[in-house]
Amino acid sequence: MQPTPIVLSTGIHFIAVIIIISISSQGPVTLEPTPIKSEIVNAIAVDREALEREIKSIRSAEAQEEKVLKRQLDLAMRKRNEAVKKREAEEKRLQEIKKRTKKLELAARKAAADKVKAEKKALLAAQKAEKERKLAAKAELERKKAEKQKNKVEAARDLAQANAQSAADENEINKVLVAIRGRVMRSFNVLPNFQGLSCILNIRLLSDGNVAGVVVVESSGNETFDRHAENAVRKASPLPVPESVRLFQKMRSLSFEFDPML
Amino acid sequence: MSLIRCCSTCHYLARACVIFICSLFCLTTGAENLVIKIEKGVATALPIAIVPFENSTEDSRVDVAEIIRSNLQRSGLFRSLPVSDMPALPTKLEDVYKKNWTTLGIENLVIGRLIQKKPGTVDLQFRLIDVYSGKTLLGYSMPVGDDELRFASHKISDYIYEKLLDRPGAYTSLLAYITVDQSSTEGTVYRLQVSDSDGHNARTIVKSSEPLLSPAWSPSGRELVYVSFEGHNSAIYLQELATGKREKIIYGSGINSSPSFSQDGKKLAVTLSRDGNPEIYLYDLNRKKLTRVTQHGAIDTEPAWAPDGSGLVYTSDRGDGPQIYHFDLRNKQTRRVTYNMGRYNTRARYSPDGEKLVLVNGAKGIYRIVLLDLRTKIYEAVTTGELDESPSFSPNGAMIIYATITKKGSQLAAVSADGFTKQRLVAQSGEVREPVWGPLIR
Repeated sequence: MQPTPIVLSTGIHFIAVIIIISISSQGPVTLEPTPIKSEIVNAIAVDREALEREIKSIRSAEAQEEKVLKRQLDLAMRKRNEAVKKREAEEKRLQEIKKRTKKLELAARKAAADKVKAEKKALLAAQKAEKERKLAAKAELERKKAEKQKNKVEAARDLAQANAQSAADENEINKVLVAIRGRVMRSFNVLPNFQGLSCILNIRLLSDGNVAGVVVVESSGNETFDRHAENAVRKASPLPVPESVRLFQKMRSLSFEFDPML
Repeated sequence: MSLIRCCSTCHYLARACVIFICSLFCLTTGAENLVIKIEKGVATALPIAIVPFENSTEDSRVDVAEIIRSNLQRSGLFRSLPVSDMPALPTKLEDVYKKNWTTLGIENLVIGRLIQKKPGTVDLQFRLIDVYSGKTLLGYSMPVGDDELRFASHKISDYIYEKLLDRPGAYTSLLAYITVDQSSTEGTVYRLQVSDSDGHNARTIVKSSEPLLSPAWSPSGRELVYVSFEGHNSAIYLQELATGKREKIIYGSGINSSPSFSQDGKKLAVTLSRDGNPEIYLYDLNRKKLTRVTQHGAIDTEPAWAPDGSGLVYTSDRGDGPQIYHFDLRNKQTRRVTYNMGRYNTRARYSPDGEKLVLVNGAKGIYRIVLLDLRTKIYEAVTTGELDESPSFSPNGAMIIYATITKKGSQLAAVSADGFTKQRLVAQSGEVREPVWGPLIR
């Protein structure tokens, strides 16, 4: 950039003033009267030509100086411009980031809010469902309770009837079993070497008390013992049976555990 | 004990009562099946029917079925149905009608046939049937020599006994005893005889006009030892049954008596008075050497070996009358065995399992056969005779043979080891003394 003539002349004047000041102030500037002698004489002695020369050289130096300055100025200006540009860019970038962050923040805040909202909604729904369930359960419980109570009353009534019946049944069956047992024991021939032996037989009874089948389900390991046990049942056949068909059904199949104590 | 025994009906009634009382407490009702517990039974004799065998041979001297029938009956463990009570006489399986027998409570049925295969040999077939299940428990067909039918009958008896009672029978074992015949014109005749276990088929081993005493079997059953007074002094003889070959093994001054074989057959225990007083000695049959066992001023006699050979029992009058003493051959200790059993206990013999002694117990002029349990020290009389002597166990321990003196003289008798069943064996000519039951012949 070419400095304008104004700027140039100002600069030059400025430099000239400085020079003058610098010349005039070569010695200490004091207000005290100092004996001036020869110096003054010398100063007065400066002729015009020399002065012009001087000025000329000064001017060339100034030009030179001006050039340097100008270049430095240019450099400074350029630097300054670059810095300004950089700062602006930086600011712009930061602004941008700020903007984006804010945008994201907003979005996040919105999402969070949405989520909370949804959760709240779900919770409410769950609470509602739970409440309903509890209510239903309570209702069911009460219904059951009522039913149970009802059943209890009925059951108690039935039980009383059944008890009376089953006690009678059991009594009847036991009577028959005792009779069977006595018969089988009397036909069970024990030998001295049956010590410590035992076996289990299953039998099927016919309604007339005859023994339809004898199966050794657990052998004593001694063939003779098992045979004596089987024969005890067969010999005791026909076995006593209850008169009622219903009761007979309960004892169609019987087990005998032969475990004689000698 | 003997009160119950003397009346077997009482005994079974008592048992029946026990059964009923017990039955009221032991009924159990299972979840699926009603369970009836049978904790008692009855120890009755097994009802059995031995149907006469069909005999297509010309020889009918031996009734096989009858021999089996009385053998089983004699044990006291069977109740043989008499032929006259039999509803039918089947001889083949297909002729057996179960109902015929079950209505009589017969659990086991024996049928059989004798078929002449060739001269001198018959085919003896028999079958043991479990009537209630219809199963054949035993079925044999055996060729038998004409003269072996008795032995075969005893063999079948053993098979049936073992099958039904689960322990060995002893019907094929033999008896040895002394008979004294005073009816002979040649004066008193003494015989050492051997017979089948039912007393039949007796054959004389030794005949002498001087006393014969104390026969004893070797463990193999092939030899007998006995005391003979031939030559007017007692001596102990060893005789082989098969060959009749005999050897005078112990003789000398004084008494030479009561020989008894050890179970290993290597030694005899004997009573000798060569040192002045009857004492027990051991005689080593191989080395022919005597070792004195007892050292006592009293009479020590009638030694018998424990089955395990660990000791001897013998009779001694060193204490309170004749009593039984035990000598331990391992630690040489002597102790009295019969205490609180009266003042007369003699001639002890061990049961085959070594747990009991059978001996003669005398009190107030009555001599009975008594069983003494060595562990519990409980004793019980198994005979009620007035003068019973010389008891000896059957080799299976189920029977005891002894001599019983009646008005007719001294006879062979057998009693089941529980004392329930007694039976006189076949009448021998003259007096029968000192029966001894031989070992099982396998």
